[in-house]
Amino acid sequence: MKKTSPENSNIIEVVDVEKSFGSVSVLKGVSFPIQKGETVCILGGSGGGKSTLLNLMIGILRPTAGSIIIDGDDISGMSEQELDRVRRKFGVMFQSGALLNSMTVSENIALPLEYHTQLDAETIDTMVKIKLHQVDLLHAADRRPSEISGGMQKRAAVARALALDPKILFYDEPSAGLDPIAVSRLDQLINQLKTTMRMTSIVVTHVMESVRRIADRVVMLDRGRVILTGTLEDLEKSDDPRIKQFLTGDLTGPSAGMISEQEYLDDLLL
Amino acid sequence: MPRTGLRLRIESTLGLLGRKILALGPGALHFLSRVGGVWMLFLSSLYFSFIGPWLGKNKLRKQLFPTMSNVGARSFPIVSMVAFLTGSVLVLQTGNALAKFGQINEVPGLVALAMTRELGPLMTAIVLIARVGASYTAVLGSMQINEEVTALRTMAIHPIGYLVAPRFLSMLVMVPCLVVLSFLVGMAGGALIAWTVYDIPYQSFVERTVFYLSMSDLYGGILKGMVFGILISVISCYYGLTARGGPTGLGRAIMVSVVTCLVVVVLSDAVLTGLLMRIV
Repeated sequence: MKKTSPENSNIIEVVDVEKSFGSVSVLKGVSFPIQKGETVCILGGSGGGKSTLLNLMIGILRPTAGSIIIDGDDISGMSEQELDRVRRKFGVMFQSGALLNSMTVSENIALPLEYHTQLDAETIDTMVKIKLHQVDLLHAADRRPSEISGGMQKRAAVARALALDPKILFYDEPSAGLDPIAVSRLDQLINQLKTTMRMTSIVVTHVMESVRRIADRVVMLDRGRVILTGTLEDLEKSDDPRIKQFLTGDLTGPSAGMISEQEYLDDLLL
Repeated sequence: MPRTGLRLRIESTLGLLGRKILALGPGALHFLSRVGGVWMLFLSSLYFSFIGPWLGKNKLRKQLFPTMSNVGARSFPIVSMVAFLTGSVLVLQTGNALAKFGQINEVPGLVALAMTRELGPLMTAIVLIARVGASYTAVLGSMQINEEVTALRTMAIHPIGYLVAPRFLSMLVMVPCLVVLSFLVGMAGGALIAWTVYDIPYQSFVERTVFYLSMSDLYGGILKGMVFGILISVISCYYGLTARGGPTGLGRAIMVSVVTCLVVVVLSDAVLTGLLMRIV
């Protein structure tokens, strides 16, 4: 297990990570650091390897080669048992929220506390209320996940991810399936956690509006490779045709699987 | 050597056979991987049921009793209805034949042996495959598809310890209990028909039953119940946890799980019956 020096402010380091499924290579030599307290957005088109990268960072998948260092621990070769220790340092908000549907919202948030701490019921109850207050969901404490809106489910999922006071939060497509106001609200929450708790956030997304609101830095993936790491400004000013196409959403461009407008029309009129 | 018609025919038959055998390969591998998966899940369920909680790996207390009450108490009405009807139909079907030979007094013994050795455990298992097994697969499968299982892993909560172990333990404990109840209810059903249709008084029904039954018959039935409980819980949880691909995948998982449970339960019933006859 590698330990990085304490003066190193990188809380996460992804070093030369490769991942292939069978003969299909999904990530090729991906490297980037993430500093403590910053919000990093991982961008890229569908099938670019974003979700795979996220699953590697949270220890659901193992890299074929390379290493992922989270708060000083290299998780790439860890056993499931060792990994469980590291997992308490971060929380994950899944695309669907992934709250347990058989429980109420507050029971969902209490679950990690009951499982991993020796706290008494009263203390857990208080902590759950604090977390719910942080995400502005106190009024929905006793409702079931299926009875609340998509945006509320995702905020509840953030509250559950916050339960064990992690240093890092991962968000998988937080804006998927939400209306613009719910998206802004979630973005506001991500920013709030950064300013109030110095939370390090890693957000996998492809919604540019949200990126402009929350990102300190961005990592852009294209077909399994990092094509840009930098600030928002670097992204907007980039000359790379792939990035330009991503920002404008143009159909004509270098991205795989796309055909030009003219080709499409030719095909249609044939 | 020129190819004669016969030679050609043999070659093509062999070729066809070879292709058929080769085609079995992936299917057989798939089958073996499933068997291996179920076996591994069984071992980890044992670990998380009996060792894990003492080592602080998982906590069972909170989910165990609701699951047990669902498997046990809430299955009791349907299990007892099926057992009652099985017992009464048994008497109706065999009573006439036995009466022809003047052996109507043997009916209680027949019901007692059939219920304890065979029908009690088997009918209970079939009811539980439908009522509990299918719901295990459905619940775990939709949790799997909804990323809830992955979410548990990222919260450092082992899905087998949290989801499978309480379900496994509940079945292990409650199926034998239900089987014992099904003995009683089945015999009561038989006694009712024996009394109303064949005029065998209740007291003599009970006397004959006690005369015929030995403890080994009861133990055999209870053992079968435990084995069925283990098989149903592990197989249905396995198909739930491996469900993939949205609602269609979930529907398929439930179907495969129920069919597999049925086949495996009937097969293991045959094997156990053979073994128990050897031993006892």
